[in-house]
Amino acid sequence: MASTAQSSIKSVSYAKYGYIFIAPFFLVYCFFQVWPLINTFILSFQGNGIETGEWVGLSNYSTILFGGDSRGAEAVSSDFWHSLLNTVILWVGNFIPQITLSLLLAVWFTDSKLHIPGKGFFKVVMYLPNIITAVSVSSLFLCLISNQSTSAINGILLNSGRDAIQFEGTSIFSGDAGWSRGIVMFIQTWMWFGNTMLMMMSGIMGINPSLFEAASIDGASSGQTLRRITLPLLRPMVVYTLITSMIGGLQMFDIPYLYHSSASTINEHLMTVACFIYDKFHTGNENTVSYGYAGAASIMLFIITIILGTIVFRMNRDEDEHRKKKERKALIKENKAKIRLEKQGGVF
Amino acid sequence: MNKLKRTLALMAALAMTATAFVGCGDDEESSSEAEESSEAEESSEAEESTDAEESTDAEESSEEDADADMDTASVPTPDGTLADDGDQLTILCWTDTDLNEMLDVTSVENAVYQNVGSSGDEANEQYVQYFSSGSDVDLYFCDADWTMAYVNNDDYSAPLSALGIDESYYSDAYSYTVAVGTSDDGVLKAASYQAAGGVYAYRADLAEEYLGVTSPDEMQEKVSDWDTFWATAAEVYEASDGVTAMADTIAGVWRAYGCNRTTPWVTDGTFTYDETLTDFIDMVYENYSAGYIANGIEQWSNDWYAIGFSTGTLANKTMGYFFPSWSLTSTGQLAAAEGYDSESDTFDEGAGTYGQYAVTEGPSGWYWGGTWICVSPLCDNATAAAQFMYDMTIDPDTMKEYAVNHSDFVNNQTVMAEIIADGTNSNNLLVDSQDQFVALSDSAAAIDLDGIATEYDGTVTTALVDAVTAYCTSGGTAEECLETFLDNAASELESAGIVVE
Amino acid sequence: MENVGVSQNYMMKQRVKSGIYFVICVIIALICLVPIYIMIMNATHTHAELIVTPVNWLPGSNIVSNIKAITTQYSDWNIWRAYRNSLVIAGSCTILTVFFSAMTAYGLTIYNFKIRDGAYTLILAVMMIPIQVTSTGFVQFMVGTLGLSDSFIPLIVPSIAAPAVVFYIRQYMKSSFPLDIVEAARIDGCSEFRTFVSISLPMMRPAIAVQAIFAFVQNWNNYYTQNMILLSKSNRFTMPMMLQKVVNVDKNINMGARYAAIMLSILPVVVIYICLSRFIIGGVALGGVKE
Repeated sequence: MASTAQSSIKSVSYAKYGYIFIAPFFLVYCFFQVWPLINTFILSFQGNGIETGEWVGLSNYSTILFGGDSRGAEAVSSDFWHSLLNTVILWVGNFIPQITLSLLLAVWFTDSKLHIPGKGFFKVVMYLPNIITAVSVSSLFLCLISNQSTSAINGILLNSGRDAIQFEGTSIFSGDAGWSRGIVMFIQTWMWFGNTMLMMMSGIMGINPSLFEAASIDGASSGQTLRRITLPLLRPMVVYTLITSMIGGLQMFDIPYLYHSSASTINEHLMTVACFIYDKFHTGNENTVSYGYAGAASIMLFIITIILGTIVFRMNRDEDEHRKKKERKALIKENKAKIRLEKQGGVF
Repeated sequence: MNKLKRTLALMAALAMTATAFVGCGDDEESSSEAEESSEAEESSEAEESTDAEESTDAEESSEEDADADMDTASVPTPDGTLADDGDQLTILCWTDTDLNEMLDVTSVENAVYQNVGSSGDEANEQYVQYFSSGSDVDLYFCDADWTMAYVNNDDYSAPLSALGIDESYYSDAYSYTVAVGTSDDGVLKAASYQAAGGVYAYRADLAEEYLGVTSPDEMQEKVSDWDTFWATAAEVYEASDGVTAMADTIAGVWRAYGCNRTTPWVTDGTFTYDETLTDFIDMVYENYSAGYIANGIEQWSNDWYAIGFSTGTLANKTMGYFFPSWSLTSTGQLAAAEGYDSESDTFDEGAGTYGQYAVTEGPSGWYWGGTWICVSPLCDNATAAAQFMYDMTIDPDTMKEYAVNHSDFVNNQTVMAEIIADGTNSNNLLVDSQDQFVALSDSAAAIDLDGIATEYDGTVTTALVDAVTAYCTSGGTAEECLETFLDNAASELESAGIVVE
Repeated sequence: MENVGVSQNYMMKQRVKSGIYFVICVIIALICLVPIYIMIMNATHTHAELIVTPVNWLPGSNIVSNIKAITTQYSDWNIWRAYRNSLVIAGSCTILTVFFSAMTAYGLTIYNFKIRDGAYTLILAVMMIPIQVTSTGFVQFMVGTLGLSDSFIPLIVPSIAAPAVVFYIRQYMKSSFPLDIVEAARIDGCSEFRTFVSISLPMMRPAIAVQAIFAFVQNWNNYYTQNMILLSKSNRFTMPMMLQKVVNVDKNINMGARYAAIMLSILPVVVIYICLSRFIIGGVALGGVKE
């Protein structure tokens, strides 16, 4: 930083350039992000289909959340809750293996006492799936494992005289939801564990090495080091991963949306909230397009995102607060949280 | 640092290329579109001016003829409400194979087509977006399942009277096609070029082996109504040791059976159904469980065709398919079930069923789909559009040519009767080059859609097939299946303001 | 002696451990690679061969005919047009993203003005808003109101505002950008904008390079937004959309051609990845691609 005196002089004469430099960002942001967000909000209070553009108050929200008198309203509501449930199941099912695998690998790759050859190669290979287009990934897995006899696994089964397996399931009432969900969880883990692993590694490498040395001198086993040093100090990183992964999980779209082999409909077990929203607004025909429901569901998603973000941040912050003084005012707390967010960002 | 420099250089290079493309993006767009249209057409454009003058003369005289004698239909003249200064006739569709054949027979020379979506469902979803993009559109194709949504919307379709076409031109057409093309307030807005009656296409070799049947007429006796059909199914199933099912898919059975409906899905904004539906649910469950409908197969999937082969892991899984007229063309679904490879224009020997199928009318007269041509209010080639409509939906000569070339069943009873009488149509996909038009014309004649068709038919059919498939594959009761169906339909129709009880 | 024994024992233990971990890593790496390997091998076999042996470990000889056969599955298949469309979108987005993000970050770091902190806080806050939340309004506004369907504009222009990239570049500038150089340029009479373009921008290279790579990959792989806007015209289709059409086609099934199409769709990204893997691996943790 230049000296305070200098920067204050600068600020007098050059302040307008600051506005000019950040103007394009905010103009574009307002036009393409803020207005659509507001527009979504507006649409969520307007009607669907033929009633698009008419104000209907909170009825879209009450319909998707609580259903209503008609069978249609009940059906929309159950679809929404079902999509929320699917999202949670799919997210949990891919986050747990993903974080476990990433943490494990990150610890191994950063442990100076272990000599795993070809670390660089492993990192490159494990990150590879993340770089591939989701459409290609889903298409590839559909070629390898789907209902069709032309998919690799069913092909092998049929060629060896066994029955084909209905990997995609057919409906929520059938018992074989596990296959399709399991496959999507696997694909998601396959795609994302490399990314999480690299984040974890940079987190571990950010820990002061002298701590590990001290532990080693004191004769701590690697399990103890992991539990007492690595994991506690890695917590901000894990929390950060948790947040981003949760928010990412809420947006889960490409793989669940594309994993079905017959061209017709989205697999019912894989209908996530993002798919629900997309399904409601993307139909071109003005009689059936449902901007209202899509808008209301989007706003619900928005609120859930905010709540999740806040909860996780607060959990993290409160722990720290205990160590320090508790009497600080809420405003200062918030400022601190911001600064911490900044610092956390700085670590990785 | 050196690496970084190289990276930057690479990014910069990418950037330059990309901007270069952006710069000329629009020009290239139009040029690539031009490429798509044939070269012949370009040369024709040069002649166009002279052509246009000549044709105006011709039209003037023909108009007088039309006034003098309404029986000999002549090329209609647009009434001037649509623009007529565009340079090419753009037709939106999802069936490029049909369009290729049409462009061969029509006298409109500067016509191009644009595929929108790869299936009717996708086209339905994407047309409106295409309209709003401001790109050229004159005519567009609509599927029976949702034509009425476009016909009843004045923003999307112009009346055919704008092209100078009225009902009197369609005295030879199947009446249901006119009914579907007419909006709720009685304006004719779309015309169909085909009558999509359906048949049962079956494996003649398997029929002989399992049933001792050697001709389509004998087969028809075996499938003359639904009870006989399922009885035959049991016979086939026994004889094949449980390998061969009689029907291909649940959706196929519904297409054939569902035409018995007497109640439209939606009456005055309320969802309605009759006992055809409940009977169907019971019938399908029983026969699916018994293995008379091929298990685990969905329409429009890879396996749908594979069950029609006599080789491979799904060999002989089905005795036959419920196919409409457009599936029996040289590029249709039957060809796919016989292993047709359109690249080399040959049939895969490995599939083993080339020319092994025969068609018969089946348990009931039924129809599936059919394609209507609508005129966009954005049309800027009224004369060419009128000519195209005339060629494909009115003029007996061009319709006959198209029907014979493409093996498609056109929407003109006189023409079809002539072709059948001539015996000129021989379909190489069928045993002894059988003429499928005979069976199809019986089927088409039986189609009565009066008051049955709605714009929601496609949506409801999907909801029904999903619910019944779930019931058949994973159990439950018929009541639950009906509830699931009503829920599915209600969820889809909620936005359209349809009340489902 | 005893000590040596202990340490030898310890070394042995570590070695055995390393060996076990190595084997596990190999297995995981294989899981990552095998689907891709099978795809490449299968892309070289004909449909008939694939029906008999659905998984091939050795290359066949039909890669060229498979690539040619893709058009029979999807007649509008035009790989160059798809590459070009994807390149136009991803390339333009990359340039706009890094340039304007650098500019915004620069403005937020160098200048001191009233709303600076507020603006920065806002950028941090909006980083978390998922696109799915705004997409309903976005589509209705772009397609419904502005009639920009099948246009590249709604896909390219929004990339000017990339909060995460601004955040990262600002972070980088805070830690390693010498502010004095701006002062020096001013004394030399260089205009503010020129200072930024010709002096500061080159100095931010390391940060920009990493972000550019990620922006490119992210936009190349984008399907959600493209699929909302570029629905109806096949000559506007990008690579992911084109592939999706090929895979969805129900007639003329040719698995060899399908594998070949998937292979072609991932080829450019994988080549870029292999060439730049060092930067990418290094950059991930710096806040690159996230889901």
